[in-house]
Parts: sequence; C-alpha cells; structure tokens
Amino acid sequence: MNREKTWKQFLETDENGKPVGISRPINGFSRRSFLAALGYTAAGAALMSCRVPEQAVVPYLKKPAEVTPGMANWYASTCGGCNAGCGTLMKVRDGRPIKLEGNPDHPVSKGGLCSVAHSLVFGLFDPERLKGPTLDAKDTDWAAIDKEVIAKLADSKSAGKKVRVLTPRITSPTSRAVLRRFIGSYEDAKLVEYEPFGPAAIVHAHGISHSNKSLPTYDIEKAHIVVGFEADFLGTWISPVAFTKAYSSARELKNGSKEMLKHIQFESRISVTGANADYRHTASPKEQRLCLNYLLGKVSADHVADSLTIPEGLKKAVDEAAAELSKNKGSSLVVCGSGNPDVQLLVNAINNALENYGTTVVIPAASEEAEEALSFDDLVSEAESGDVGALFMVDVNPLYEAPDAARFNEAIKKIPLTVSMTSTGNETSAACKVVCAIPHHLESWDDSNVRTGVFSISQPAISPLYKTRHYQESFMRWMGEETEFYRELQRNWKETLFTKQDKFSDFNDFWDKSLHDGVFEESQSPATPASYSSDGLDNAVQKTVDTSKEGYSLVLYQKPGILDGRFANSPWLQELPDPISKVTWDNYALVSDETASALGVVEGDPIKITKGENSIEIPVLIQPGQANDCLSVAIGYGRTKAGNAGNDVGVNAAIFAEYGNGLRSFEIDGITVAKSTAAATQFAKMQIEPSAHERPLIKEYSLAAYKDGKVDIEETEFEKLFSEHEYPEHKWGMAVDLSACTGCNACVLSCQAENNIPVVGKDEVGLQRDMHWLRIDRYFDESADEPTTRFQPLPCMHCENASCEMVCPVLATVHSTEGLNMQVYNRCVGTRYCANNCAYKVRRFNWFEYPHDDPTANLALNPDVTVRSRGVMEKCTMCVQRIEEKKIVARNENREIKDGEIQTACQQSCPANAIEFGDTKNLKSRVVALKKSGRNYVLLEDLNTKPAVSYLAKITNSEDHGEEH
Amino acid sequence: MAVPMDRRGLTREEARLHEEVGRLTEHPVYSPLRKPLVGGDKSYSDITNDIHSIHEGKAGFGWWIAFTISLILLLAGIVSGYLTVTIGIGTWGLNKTVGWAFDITNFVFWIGIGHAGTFISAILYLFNQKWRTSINRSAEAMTLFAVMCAGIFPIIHMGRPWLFYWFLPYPNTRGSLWVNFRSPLLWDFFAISTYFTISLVFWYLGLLPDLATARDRAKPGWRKTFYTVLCLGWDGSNRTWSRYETVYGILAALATPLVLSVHSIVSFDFATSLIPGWHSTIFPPYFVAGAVFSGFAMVMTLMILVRKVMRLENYITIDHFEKMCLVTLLTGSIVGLAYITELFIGFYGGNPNEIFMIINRLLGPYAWAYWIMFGCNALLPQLFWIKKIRRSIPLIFVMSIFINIGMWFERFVIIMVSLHRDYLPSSWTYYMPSYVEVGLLVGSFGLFFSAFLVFLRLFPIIAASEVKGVLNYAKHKHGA
Repeated sequence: MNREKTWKQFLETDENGKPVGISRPINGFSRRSFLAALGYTAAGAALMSCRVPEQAVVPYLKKPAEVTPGMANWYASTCGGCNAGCGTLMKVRDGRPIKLEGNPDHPVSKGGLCSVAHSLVFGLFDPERLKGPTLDAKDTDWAAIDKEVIAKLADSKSAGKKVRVLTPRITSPTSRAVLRRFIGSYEDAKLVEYEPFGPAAIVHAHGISHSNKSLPTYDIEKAHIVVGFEADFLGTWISPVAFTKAYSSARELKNGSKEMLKHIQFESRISVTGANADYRHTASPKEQRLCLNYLLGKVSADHVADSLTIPEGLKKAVDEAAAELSKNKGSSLVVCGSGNPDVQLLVNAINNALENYGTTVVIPAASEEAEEALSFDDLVSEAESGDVGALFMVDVNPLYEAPDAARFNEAIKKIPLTVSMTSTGNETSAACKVVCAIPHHLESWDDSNVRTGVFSISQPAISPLYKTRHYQESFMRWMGEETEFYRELQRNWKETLFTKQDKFSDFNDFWDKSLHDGVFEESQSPATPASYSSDGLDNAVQKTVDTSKEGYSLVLYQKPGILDGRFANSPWLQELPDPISKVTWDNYALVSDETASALGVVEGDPIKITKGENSIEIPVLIQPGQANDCLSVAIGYGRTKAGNAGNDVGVNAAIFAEYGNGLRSFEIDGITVAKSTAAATQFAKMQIEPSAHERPLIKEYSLAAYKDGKVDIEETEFEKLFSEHEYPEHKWGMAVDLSACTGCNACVLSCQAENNIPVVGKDEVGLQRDMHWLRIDRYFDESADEPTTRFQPLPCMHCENASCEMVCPVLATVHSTEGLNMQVYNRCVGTRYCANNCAYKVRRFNWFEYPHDDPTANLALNPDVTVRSRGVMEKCTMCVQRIEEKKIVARNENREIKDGEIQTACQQSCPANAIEFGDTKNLKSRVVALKKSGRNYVLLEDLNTKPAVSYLAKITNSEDHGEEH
Repeated sequence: MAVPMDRRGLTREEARLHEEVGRLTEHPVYSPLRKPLVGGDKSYSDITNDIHSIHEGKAGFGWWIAFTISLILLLAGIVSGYLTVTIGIGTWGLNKTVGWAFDITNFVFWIGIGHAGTFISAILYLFNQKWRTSINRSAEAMTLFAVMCAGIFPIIHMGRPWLFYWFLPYPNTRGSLWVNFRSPLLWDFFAISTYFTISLVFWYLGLLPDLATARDRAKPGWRKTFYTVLCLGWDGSNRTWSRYETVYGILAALATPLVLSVHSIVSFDFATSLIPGWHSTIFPPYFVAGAVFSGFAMVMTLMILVRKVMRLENYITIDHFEKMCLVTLLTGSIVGLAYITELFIGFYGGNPNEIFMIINRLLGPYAWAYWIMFGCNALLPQLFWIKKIRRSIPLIFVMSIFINIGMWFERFVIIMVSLHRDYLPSSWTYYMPSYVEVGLLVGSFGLFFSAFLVFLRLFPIIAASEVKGVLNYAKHKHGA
C-alpha cells in the first residue's frame, strides 16, 4: 500500500477505520497503543544506538587467578636475541608483554640484559611480521602447507634425493632432539649448522686442540688479567652480558676492595671492550697475528718467536702482557675474536701454556656436535648438482649475507622444496617456495643449554598474534607426530633433566619450579681438565706468521644492537647510536686519519672496496684508535627485504667474509680500496664533538692513587642565598659508577622501552633531534699515542637548584617533595626555555606529532607512561611510575620502602651494575654509601645546581694514568 | 692708538654683543649658532597643506609598488606561520641544544627597533628637544608596528601556540596551576604588553590635534567619519589644549622609564640564565643602548625614504639626520664598549667556560656572525665622527641599513652562538635556519612595512600641530 501504511498498520484503528496515532490524548491511550508506542520508541532507540560502533569493554567473565587489570605480571624466560641465553623477566600487563627486564636469579646474565633484548618487545608488535604461512608467495593455511611439504618429502624420498636442514647454532636441547628425529627419519638427511658470524672458529679450533668441538665457557671473574685480541666481549662477542657482569664484578671497587682485574686489549678498531681496557693497543689483524705468535713464544717454552718483526711499541706491549700473564698462571685469560681457526689454535696454545684450561676456560665434558658436520659450501655444491630434494632453512638468511648469494640463489632453484622458517620476512624467505611463519620469540616455547649444566626455558608471554607455528612443531607434524611443541618440551625435560636432580619427586613440581625460575641448574661435577694436543699448531704458526700479503685489510665487526642484521627492522636498534662512533642508521668504513689522507678522503666520502668479484661503495668515517691500512665495516646493514625500517640502511659488507674450512673469516687481507665518485654521506650522529676539551667532566684516577687513598673528592659548599627545598619523606638520588659503566647502551634502550620514547629517523637524528632521555656521552682523548675513550651516561640530573624550573613561565616543570624534577606535559606550552637553560642538555622537545597510528605497534607502549604530543618538552623522570608503584605496594603492606626495592629501567638491566638508585634520606641505603665514597662527584659542580645524580670517578688498573683526567 | 668707543664707552665689539643679548632677550630661541628646524619659508597654512595633503590625496605609484612588495613578504610570513602552527616547530632548524635562534633573535630585534620611537617622543620631549617634532609621529608609529612584529615571535615560537593565554595570570579553576613569577619570560610578557599599551596611547593622544585638522579638512565621506570618531571631539579650545599638554607630559614621563625597562627585562631572559654568553650582568644597559642604536638606525632608514618619496625635505632636514647620527654614534660607541667589556671580562673572570665562549665567538664556526656584528655595530658608526658623512643622505642610508643588519646579528650571536656550544661538549651542535624561519623573518618585515605604508595613507605622518609650534625656532621674525 502506501507509505502511511508501513508504520501506521501496526497501530490500532478507531471505529471509523482511522488509525489511532500515538498523539491521541492520554486518557484514551489503550494498552495496545501504549505498547505499540513503547515498541516504536524502543526500536528507534535501538536503531539509533546501532550506529555507534561496537566497542567491547568486557570484563573477564572468569578472571584468570593471576590477572588483575592494571597490574603487571612477571614471567621468567630466556632472551632469544642471540645464543647467549640471558635470563629475562617479561612484564605482562593486561595480557600483553610490554617490557623485558633482566632476571637477577639467572646464573648467566645475573639480571643484566643488552639492547637487543629490550628491542624484542618492539619486534613482537612489528606490524610487518609474517602473519601466516605462504606457499609460492600466496597466503595459505597450515593444512595446505603440511600437504605440500609432506608430498614433496615423499617425492624426494622416492627419488633418493637428499634432505638438508640449515639452522643456526642450536643451543636448545629439545629442538635439537626434534631435528635429529626428523633427520633420522630420512636416509640422507643432514643438519647444516650455519651461523656465519658466531664463534665457529673457536669451536673448530677446540675440535683440533682438545678433540672437543664445543664452545668453552670463559670465566672472567676468576681471572686477574684478561688479554683480548679483537674480541669485543663486552659488546657483541659470544655472551656480552654475562661477560660484562663478570668483568664489572672482577673490577668492582664498591666495597672498598683494592684489587681489580687488569685488562689489556689489542684491536684494530676501538670496540666497547677496547674502550674499557686499562691498556689498549691499536694493532691491525696482521700485527695481532704476529703478536699472538710472539706472545706464545713468551709464555711457552716450546716456541721461540723472537725473530718476528713486530713494531717496537707492540712488542713492548706484548712483553708487558706476557709478564702479567705469566705471573697469573691459571688465573689469566686470553681471548680472541678472530674468525680464523689457525689464530684460535694459537690462542688455545697460549691458554694451555698459561694453565687456564679448567679454571678460566672450561670445556664442556661432551662434545655438542656429535653429527658429522656439513658445511654451507658443501650444501651449495650439493644443491647445484641437483641432489637436494628438500631444504629447510630455520631462522637463517644466507641469501642476504653469503658471499656468493647469487650462486646460492641459483642453486636453490634446483631444489623442489625450499622451506624458510622465520618470523620476519627476509631475503631468503622471499626466494623460498614455502614460508612457515614461526611465532615471535615472545610467543614461543623454547629451551636453551646456555652453558654446561645450565638449562634455560623460554615461555610465551602472549598467545600468538598471527597464524604462526613453532618450527619444531612443523617438523613433528611432517614426521606424523600430532603434538604441540610445548608437550614435546615437557617430555624432553622429563626424560633428560628431571632425572638429573633429586629435589623433586614429581615432574610437575620440577617443571613448575623450572618454569617459574626460568632456569634449571644441574648440580655440577667438577670439570675434568681437557687433554690438550698441539696438533696443527705448527701449521697454524706457519700460516699466521705469513706477512707477505699486501694491500689493505678489512675487518668485519658487529655493532651492539644490530649484530648480524637479523634485527635490522627494529627502529629502536637502528636509532641506537654506535657506542663509539655515535652514528645511527648507517654503517661505514672506519679508517685511521693516516689512511684517510693516503686515500684522499674526508668523513662521509665514499670509497670502493674490492676483493675478487665482490665490491661495495661505502662512506668512510675517520676514527681515532684505528689501525693504519685497515678498514673496519659493520655487518648487518644493507638489508633489502627486512621491512620499512631496515631496508637500504647502510651497505652489506658481509659478502666479503671469506670461507675457510667452511668457516667465515672476519679479517680479510689484500683488499683494494679506491676513492669513489659517488655523493658524500652526511652521518646522523648523536654526538658531534669528539673531545671533552679538557673539561673535568669524567674524573679518572689510577688504581695506584686509589690504593694510596688519594682519591677523596671533596664536595664544595656554596653560600646559601635562598631557602632550600624540603624533602619530608624521600629524596631520590642516583649514583653512576663510571668505573663500571662500559658504554654498552643497554640502559638507553631500556629507557626507551619503558618510557615510550619515540623514534625519529635518520634525517631527524641528523638534525640533532634525537629523543633519548638517557644518553651516553663518549669522549676521546687523543693526547697520548693510544687514544682513550670514556663513557658517561647522562639522565636528567634532577637538580635541587634546577635552572629549568626557574625559567618556565607556566610552571610546567616543578620540583617534587621527593626531589624529582617533574615535567607536566599537559601544562607545557613549549617555549623550550628550560632546555636552553639546562646545563646538561637532557631535555628533549617534541618537534612533531610523532606517529602513533599503528594499532599493533602501539601495543608495545607502556600504559603507565604518557605518550607525549607535539610541542611539549620531555625528559627523564627517574621512572616516576616505578617509584609510585612501589610506594603503593609499601603503603598497602603498611611498611617503609625497602632499599633497592625501586629500580629504574636503566638500572635494572645494566649488565655492569653501574647505576644505583635509592632514597638518599635513608642513610643506610646503598646509594648513600656510594655518594659518601671518595669517588663521588657531581657534574658541573660550580654551577651549584646540586644534581641528585652523581658520578663515581673512574679507576683504571694502570700505573701511569694521570691523577685526574 | 685709542680704540673708538661709543657714548656708553663700549668698543664696537662690545656693542655688537650687547645688541645680540638684547635680541636674545626678545626672541629666546634665536641664536646665530642655531638653525631653523623647518626649512623653506613655510607659513602655518603651508604646513597644514603639506602634511595633510599626503594622506588625503591618492596614493602614488611608488606607494603601490612598495605596498605590493610588502604584502608579498607578509604572505611569505603567513605561509611560514601556517606551516609552523599546523606541522610544528620541527619545520624550523632548531635542535636539542639550540632551542632558540631566529625566533627570539627576531623578537629582540623588533623590540629593540621600537625603542627609538619612545626615546624620540618621550625622552626628547622631556628634555625639550624641539627637533623631535618632525620625526616623532613616524617614529612612534614605527614603535607600534615593531612591537607588533616582536609580539608575534614569542607566541609562534611556542610548541603549542594556541595555549599562549596560559601566560596570563588570570583566575582559573586549575587549583595551584598559575604562572611562574620567577620566569623572565613572564616578565617579558608584562613588560611588552605594558610597553605596547603606553606606546599606543601616547601615539594616539599626540595624534588628536592633527586628527581634528584632518576632520575639518575632509569632505563628507568615510574619511570624515573616520577622523570625526577618532579625534574624540577635539575643539581646539584653550582648555582642550591645556589638558592635552598636561596629559601628554604625564604620558611622556610614564613612557620614559619604559625605554629603559623593556629592554632591560628582555635582557633578563638571558642574563638570569646560566648559559655562558647569556649569563652576564652588563646585559641591561648594553641591551638598552643597542635598542636605541638600532631604533635610530631604523628611523633614519624610514625617514630617508619617506622624506624623499613624500617630498618632506623642508620638514625632515639634514640637521635632523645629523642629530640622529650623533645619537647613533653615542649609542653605537656604548655598544662597542660593551662588546669589548664582554671580551675583557670573559678572560679576566678566568672561568674556562666563559673563555671558551669568547673564543668560540671570535673564532668558532659562527665567527662570521660575530665579525658582522662587530663591524656593523662597533666600527661602522665611528664614521659618524666625520661631519661630511653625517650630512650625506646616501651614506647615512647605507649605514643605517648596515647597523640594523649588525644589530640583528648581535642578537643572533648572543642567542644562538652561545647556545650551540655550552657546558657539555657532547651536546654541541650546529644550527641552520630552515626556509620557514627565514620566511617568518621576511614576513615580519612584510608586516612592518605594510602597516607603516597603511599608516602613511591614513594619518598625518608629521605632527603638524607640533611643527607649527617650532616653526619660528631660530628665526628672526615671526612668520606670517
């Protein structure tokens, strides 16, 4: 009928057949019309409300017992950033991990974490992560993948072809067991361990010298002297966090101890490790090989090496090192970062002569690598010949970093089934037929045999965000085992580790305890000293004293954070400055001043490095402490399929890594270098000025002076012109031990993760607009022959007489009753007067509205910390959210706050324990004890700003360093 | 050899002096050493016609060209301001260490420019300097426009300029959140708003008699209404004049301390801070002298143009310029002395940070800015010792422009060069302005000249009533 009908038909009609509208007087309002009207109104209201997008704010119907909204839960796990296996505590708020902290009870890392670990949270919520499996580059489901793989494996089996699994060095016993089972189910299947920039040469060398192909454990804490050759053990080498813990503990002077570990470093570029050494000597890889030979001759009667031609300065240095080493037989340590197994054999011989095996160098009882090893180059030839039927690549990326990636790329085209198992897309997965998306480390179960007798568990902090599957589970499914990897993990632990303990009789108790602690430690039987044989040593000596090679040499190194490039898509890590050069978002060829003049280049000028068929163009950076005729280039750059942040950052230098015995060498001799005509590069440096201009910013004393009690810095008392602040309850303060700090940058990234600090990108860093609240100042002193490098972490000083507080016209920065200098973001109008007037320049301005558009990436934000908007000033808050959290806990429990209960983000995971935070009104607190020590001083004391952050003067274990720097 | 004497027993020379004294008693402003303030043989009605016809007639070709250029410059400023407000301060070249550069440099520069107007109208009035009458109106207008230009920068330099009213200590419901009376930036806010208010009132009050003349001369139309409303019913009676002059004197007395206070307070922004190169006790007098110095230079630049284009050579004479040159010479020498004092104290004080700051200024990466400043402000004005240069309009014009370039760089050196290298070498940076910052500077000139050109078309640019009062200055007989 007509339009009227559509709604009026529901209404009652009167006696004349006219509809009875709702406008009828109320006294004549029938029950039916009332209901009709009510129904209309309700329907209308319901329809209107349909327009509002549905937003489910649903409380738990059945709340998990341990979850309280707004309260964080902490779960122990193991960091998956590298093979070091540091213990982490994952902070999970409302079901999502927001921060990783160090697990203080972990026997390896002891509460320390490095910058890579902190960046994992960002990686978890990286919107570019793989979201599910793909087959021929098309999204698909797991059933289709399984079908395809199982069919192709069957084909391969019937064709009698080989199955190969390419993995990094696997430290997980359970994963290794799964892989072994998988390999065992095929006739010709093999595991190819491929970690090109790992310590493979050391493992190889121990296979020769000790018939035990495994990585020894280095115990720096037991040593009185450590001599390093190119080994960046405080930065990137093997297990930097554990080494830093041990190093700082062996050098600690906090409890008035008067002895400290002595450290001598020979290296071709300044590394974090060399920067911290008591004596650092610049030596090219060639010179280092000679030095090692000479050192071997000095410490071992079997070798005479006086005939070697070594520069006089280095000879003297090695003589001194040899004397110190010989004095401390059994409690000394020589480490070397070379990728050359011959060089590592020399090091083994030296450590053996110094009786260090069994004390500072411990070899695991059983060899890790029982399987017959197959090297990567064997795999390439096999693939080329068409013998390989299936190739599984687990979390490796050879197409990016292999020197002959093009050859490998051609070779894998002949393989019917190529499977890449990775959580982020990369160069290799792009070339594979099947890509199995594996969960991010924070979504995964795993375990790790970190070192002899230490087994560490990784547990997921969140259920997988995407359609991902553990690679171990995939292998199990392809073997026909329908089980989850979690069950397998438990089963393996029950079978192998449960039996090794007698504390728990029930496996579930054992499992719960291990999972809770994140680690299981086997009761150790005393290490049996491994038998040393000098097989191959003469050959090694012969090879390493060969000085005939001419031309420049190239050293490939890893930057803390970026490492071998697997985390290249983390903007946090890309924007983390190199500890030494302070350059972000780039790699470069480090050259010495002399080499630069010989090449006729200045900073930023491009050069062309050629070796054989490989060549790259890369800008140079002139750095002090760089060996002449030696270029150092960081690997891990020049990714092409890493993601938006990581693509085309820097140049890929990994292609130069030479093969030898299936190993990679990071020191390449005989390269040719020429100036290139390409445009010069402007580096985005976080610190431009290299020198401290002789300003007394970093105070430094020798151990001799410290022993003589000459280190007693007095506090200057100034006239008091104004009334001072009163602190009725607490006054928070911090002490930073410059003697402990290694400049590793872990605190910088921890602060960034905790405080939602935005990443600004290369251009903005180049404009000096980085946002880091905590920075590490680095100063070179080039006055002596060997330059020294010093670090100084700089958070906001929280001055009592804060120059920023006085000048803010709108009171947006004010002093709290607990001594904090507070920034009130919503009051700030952005005059930047406070930043100008800050003598320490720790304030950071929001130049733009930094993007927070991605809902996935935003999940990494800490809900306790405001995200700042454009036009406001921000700076270190001393983690006020952590202070308040613990204050509430203490108040609820009706007690005082305990000393050490509150830990700032920077302090918590410092691998060197360099930062102490506490209440300076609590006279028994550790921070007060440190502030009362003779080493305590504040920065720019004569300004009378009275900072709450003070420094402890650096002590070096050397005789000749000046009284005060 | 008897000297001839008259009957009073005086020599001829003595008699001549007597006569002179007698004449001086009769006409107190007459002296053979003084020159008339108004050239040509002008009558009162000539003055009225000459001055009022400028704004009554049609604008000339030159005016339109100048106005078009000014508007283009202003447009550049508006675009830059739009980018700044919508995108953020990130469009500028500032960084974590250099938080102020072009923005506050421009602010201090324009505030300084304003000082000459107040100096001429208030201080010279109180000191009874009759020559001020020809230039005070334009100089005061210049002050107003300069303060307007200056006022833009503290607002636009804020990260969140839409919240600028938080500078006002108004009663609010935010509890203890109020303004910080310890902040020199807040003092600035008060100093400048006071200064602008007084300058506006003072200028407007001085305009009243001339506005009434304009009203009387205007034909019916919008101009008639405009002047009628603005002149507040001026009737020219003795009583009106008497009250007018009383108020004028009082306002002059009120404005005088502002000449000293405003730039002193602006200098506190720097002097009370702790950055080497900012933290300096000589800043208040040094800034005031510099402000008057740059202000007079700007007055000279403008007056040379106005005088030429509007054919006002008889009113703004070369003698006026000579006097202004002398003021410039004096203040320029004070500024030069301040520079040398700063250098001396830097070393004499022995503070390594101060010494470094001085060396960095003289030889650092921005040494060119320092030497532009030193050359233009301390050395160049010394040429005004030479009378020929003081009386050469082209030379004065060129020098006045150089002085203003120098004074802009003075503020740039103080603000930016001090900031870019302070206590911790790790934070040392460099600074390069972005095109947006240059656009804002250019735009402020556009605003200044646009406003000044509009002023030329609407108001009598010379205080005609006051000029009439000094018409007979140093003339033998009263005019017709």
